[in-house]
Amino acid sequence: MPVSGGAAPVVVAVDIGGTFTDGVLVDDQARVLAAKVLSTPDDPSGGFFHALEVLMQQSGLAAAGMRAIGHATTVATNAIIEGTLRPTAMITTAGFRDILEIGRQVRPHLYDFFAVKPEPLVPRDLVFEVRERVGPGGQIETPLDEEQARQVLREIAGRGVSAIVICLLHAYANPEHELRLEQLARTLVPGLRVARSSFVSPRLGEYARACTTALNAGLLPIVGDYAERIRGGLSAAGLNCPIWVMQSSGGAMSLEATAASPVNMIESGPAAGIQAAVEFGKRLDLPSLLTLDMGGTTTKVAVVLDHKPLLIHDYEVGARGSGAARAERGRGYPINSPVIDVIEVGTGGGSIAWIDAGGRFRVGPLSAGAVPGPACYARGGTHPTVTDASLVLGLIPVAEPLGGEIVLRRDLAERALMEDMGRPLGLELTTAAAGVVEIAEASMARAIYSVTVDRGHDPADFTMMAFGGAAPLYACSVAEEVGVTRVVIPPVPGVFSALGVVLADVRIDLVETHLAPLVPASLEELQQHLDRLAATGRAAVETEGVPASDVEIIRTLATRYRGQSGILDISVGPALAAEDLSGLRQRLGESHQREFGFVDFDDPIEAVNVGITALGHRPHRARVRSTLAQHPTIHGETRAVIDRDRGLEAIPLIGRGRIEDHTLLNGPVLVLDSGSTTVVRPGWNLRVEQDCLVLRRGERT
Amino acid sequence: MGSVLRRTAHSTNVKTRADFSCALFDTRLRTVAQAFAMPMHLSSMAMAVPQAVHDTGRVLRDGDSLVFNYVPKGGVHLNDLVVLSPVFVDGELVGYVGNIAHHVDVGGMTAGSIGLAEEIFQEGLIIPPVRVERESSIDGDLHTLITSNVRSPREMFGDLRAQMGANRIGAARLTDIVQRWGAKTVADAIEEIMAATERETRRAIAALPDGECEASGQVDDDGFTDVPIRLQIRIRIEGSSICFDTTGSDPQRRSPMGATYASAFSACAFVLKCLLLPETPVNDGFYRAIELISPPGTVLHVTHPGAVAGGGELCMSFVDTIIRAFSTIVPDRVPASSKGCLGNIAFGGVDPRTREFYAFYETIGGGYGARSSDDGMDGVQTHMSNAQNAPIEVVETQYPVRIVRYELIPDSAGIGTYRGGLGIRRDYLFDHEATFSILSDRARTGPRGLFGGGDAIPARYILNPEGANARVLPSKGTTRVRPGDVVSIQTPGGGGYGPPSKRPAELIERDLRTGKMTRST
Repeated sequence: MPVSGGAAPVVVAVDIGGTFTDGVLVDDQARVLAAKVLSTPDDPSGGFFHALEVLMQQSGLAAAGMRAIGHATTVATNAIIEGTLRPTAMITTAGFRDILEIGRQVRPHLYDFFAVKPEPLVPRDLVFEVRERVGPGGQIETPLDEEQARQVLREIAGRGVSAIVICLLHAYANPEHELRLEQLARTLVPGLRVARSSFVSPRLGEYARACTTALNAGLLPIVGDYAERIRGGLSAAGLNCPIWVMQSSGGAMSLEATAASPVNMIESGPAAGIQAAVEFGKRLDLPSLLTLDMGGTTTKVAVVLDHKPLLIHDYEVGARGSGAARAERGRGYPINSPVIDVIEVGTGGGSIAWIDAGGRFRVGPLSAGAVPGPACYARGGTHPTVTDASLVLGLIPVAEPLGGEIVLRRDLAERALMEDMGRPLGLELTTAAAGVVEIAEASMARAIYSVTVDRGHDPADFTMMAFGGAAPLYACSVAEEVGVTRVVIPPVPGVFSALGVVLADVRIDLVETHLAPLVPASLEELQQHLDRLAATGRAAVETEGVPASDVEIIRTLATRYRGQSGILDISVGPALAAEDLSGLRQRLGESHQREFGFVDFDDPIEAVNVGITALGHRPHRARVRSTLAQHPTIHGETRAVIDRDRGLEAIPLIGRGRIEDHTLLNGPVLVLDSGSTTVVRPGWNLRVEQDCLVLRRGERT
Repeated sequence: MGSVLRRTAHSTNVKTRADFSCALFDTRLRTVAQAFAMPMHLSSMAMAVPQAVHDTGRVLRDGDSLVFNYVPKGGVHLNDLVVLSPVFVDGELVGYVGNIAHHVDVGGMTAGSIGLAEEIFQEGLIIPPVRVERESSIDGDLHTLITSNVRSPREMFGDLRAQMGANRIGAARLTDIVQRWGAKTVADAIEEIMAATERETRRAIAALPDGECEASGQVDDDGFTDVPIRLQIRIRIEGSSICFDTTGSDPQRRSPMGATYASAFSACAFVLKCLLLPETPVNDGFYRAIELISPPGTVLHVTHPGAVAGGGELCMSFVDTIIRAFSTIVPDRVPASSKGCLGNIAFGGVDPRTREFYAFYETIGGGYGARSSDDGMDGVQTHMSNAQNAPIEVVETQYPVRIVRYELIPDSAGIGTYRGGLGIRRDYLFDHEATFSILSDRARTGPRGLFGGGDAIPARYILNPEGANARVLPSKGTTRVRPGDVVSIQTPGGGGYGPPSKRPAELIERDLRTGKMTRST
């Protein structure tokens, strides 16, 4: 639908997922247009340009009017889990060639005689040692052997790698030797990109730092080429506006800055959705959220407390073949840069149902993806997926083509379900379909328990915000399972993560390890480190085009009681040197009490890391709020099974565009949105608030 | 519970290496759920906890906690301290929460408490089940007694307090569950969970062929004499029952190379779990499906006052022996022998930076045995342990030591159609006087190959490996190191599987290219 008035559009954002590529366009009236196209895994930029084209067509606007483009992409994640990182060489301290091979010296599965460790990020024959040694305080104990360094660099030049990883022991405390090596590399092998550990992740712990740096090195050429394809394609289309890319931390950085530190964008997509949830949580005054983001391949669950997503500084990404971005400890590669804390399970709309060796009913983690897709897409898929089962149950009204492109074929879904599940297990069609959906829901419930109960939270204290094309179908049912009594389906749930890209602040996180006791004498020095980081962060955010008045700096000290490993962040003001130590001690104590249930009153406290977050606020964010242009307006009835015990029944079907603000609807009802359907179960009611569908349990009019 | 314990502990061993385990018990002290990273802890708490409460006839009140490191049939060794707390809801006992953690030093002959002891009294402070907390506050006298007997009192008490904190979190969670569902429902659910696990375990046992298999293995020596210690296992499978019998194993000696009954049980349970039920949660239903006959007074059932610090060490060989027995009935499903030792090392002295006493402990990975379809893993903890290494940068920041090498040992694996994993070399440099204790094994015979695969290279423990004064150290014992000394620990590789003549050419080529093996056969 064209935007009226011919005014300039404001922002477009494109989010590439495993199955679909989503786009949103926000015009100058703050209206949102949405588009969903199939992803193109071989070259994800294909999906990017396709989505953009669809949005431009829908809006009827010219390229010249585009002010900015936001982007979230799995291009980095895919390279890691598919093992297509570019070959790199590594230089490390003599005696430590096998840092990456040995890793944490654990086996990934405790009780598997056949377990295998993840392949090292740099093969052993491409790891080179140089004589040098820095001590834990940063003191140089053995000077760098420059002659040997030159020999090593000349050897690397002939080995066909595209980047060099430099990671020396204790380089976080003193980068001098790493800097010298980088300088030599730039002179002797100018064609190779360099990733230096004291730049990429200057933090204590050699294995995690080496992995983070090596991943960055392996990604540099891939993300660099990708950025060039995007920039080139946009220029060809006459679009020369700024492009920013969503980072794992939930903030955004320019395409150019991202290409230099690609390891920070690995969790780009999940972060975007959570950022959008935070924004709508603020509008609804809901500080505690459980986000349920279900796409084609996986479901991601995260916790938002006090309007903030939880950030962690230590996680692992999946090794090849693991199928998911996140990996359990010891099973992937550690990364020590900030990331929104997300649990991901291999259950999505495209997850395939199957029968295991023991005759048990299973769903996922194998996914039909975009190609061939679920059986009902009629694109060659013959195995039944969660989407096929939902279609058979009548939960997805066939009336509207998916993303305007795919007409769903119920007959193919039925055939796949009966052939793979129904006949072998002796189940009727409806029972088989309901079984697939129930198992998928149980897997989502487990993910919710692991981000709540396992971390000391009660799911009942949260509101679930459900988005991603498939989540609104199952949110109500999963909420019942885990004891959540309020569910929010935000606007454009099918492309909500793309909306998050539009809403994200520019954000830079800088962290350095500086071990120091928290005593008055050390505050001055810590403040100097913080000031330096703050200046760097501020400059970087301003480079992204944010006016100085819109830049906010948050300063953090990572502290602990001496001797413990549990590090807790406490925020500090700009004048740390003038702060009262008892105030810092009290904040650490409160935080320790909340996190661990007790406080060490007497032990000395120390700083481990200093960090800053530089935020550049986006002026357009507050304005993205008006109703969408594309709500369906159907009003009728459909036949569906929303509960196995109730069987097939007539259920009201209402288009999102037909629901007036503050009208109360009682379940069961199906609400048809563009690109998704919300199932409101019996015992629940629904109201529209702040552009969101708000479902509550157990309240009747 | 586990995450609280790990993050608030003070010793590197607990906070980084995760050498601990947490569990929930029902009102009858049966294990309901258990979370851990160390199979060595599989049944240690499950067996010790009922002994600690029932056998002492103790009545625990709300706010009480027990601490202990010794009960007759044992945990693993004195370094493992258990903290156990009852949980009450509305005045009614609903269960117990407990955790076990390896403390770096519990006193005794040498730093790290892994010296060459002849009896348990030399191994450190013996703590029978005693109240460490009353009305949720710590017993100050007991605290003073314990910390006066150990070398790193601050670290020890930090870990102990973290253990009590972890129980508090566990108790709060259990209370939530009971308040939400009611004590009766929770008890019924627990009963059903255990019954389901027992059904699943018995079904899996029934799927094994009926019959008997046996094997014998050995440990290099006992640290005092060169006489090897013989280990014997006979396994009987009949329907859904399985019985492990260690009769024929050597009598216990006046040496730390002895295992408690609980340790021997853990080894059997570990192998069975790997073979049959890797994903099944562990609870009483699993334990009660397993029978172990281990005559008292033998190295696999040490009786008082036998020393047990090397029990874990012994169990590593015992696991390989059990696996060898199973290889006769399920040849494709088991690996060749792995490194066959825990590789305990500990050192301590006076930190020249602070003038305070310190103690450090760790175990070092090595080669995993080759499998029927794959090479063994290089440089990993095997079988009964899965302790993470402490990062070198963390060790050097917290302790007065330099680690000057940490690398794989080329050619250390047994060859075969699939080769074993490679061993690890880790060298420690000292700038002050300290004691360095090793409690390890496999320096005389390398881990064995299976079905034609070669044996791996044995371990080596060397003082000043690069110098003219290099000296081989025994696998068990304590050495005084001086400034400038380097101790080099070189762990064994894993045994090979299948005849080397059938090794795929691309694997030979890969190993030569990466330098993991320098010869093609």
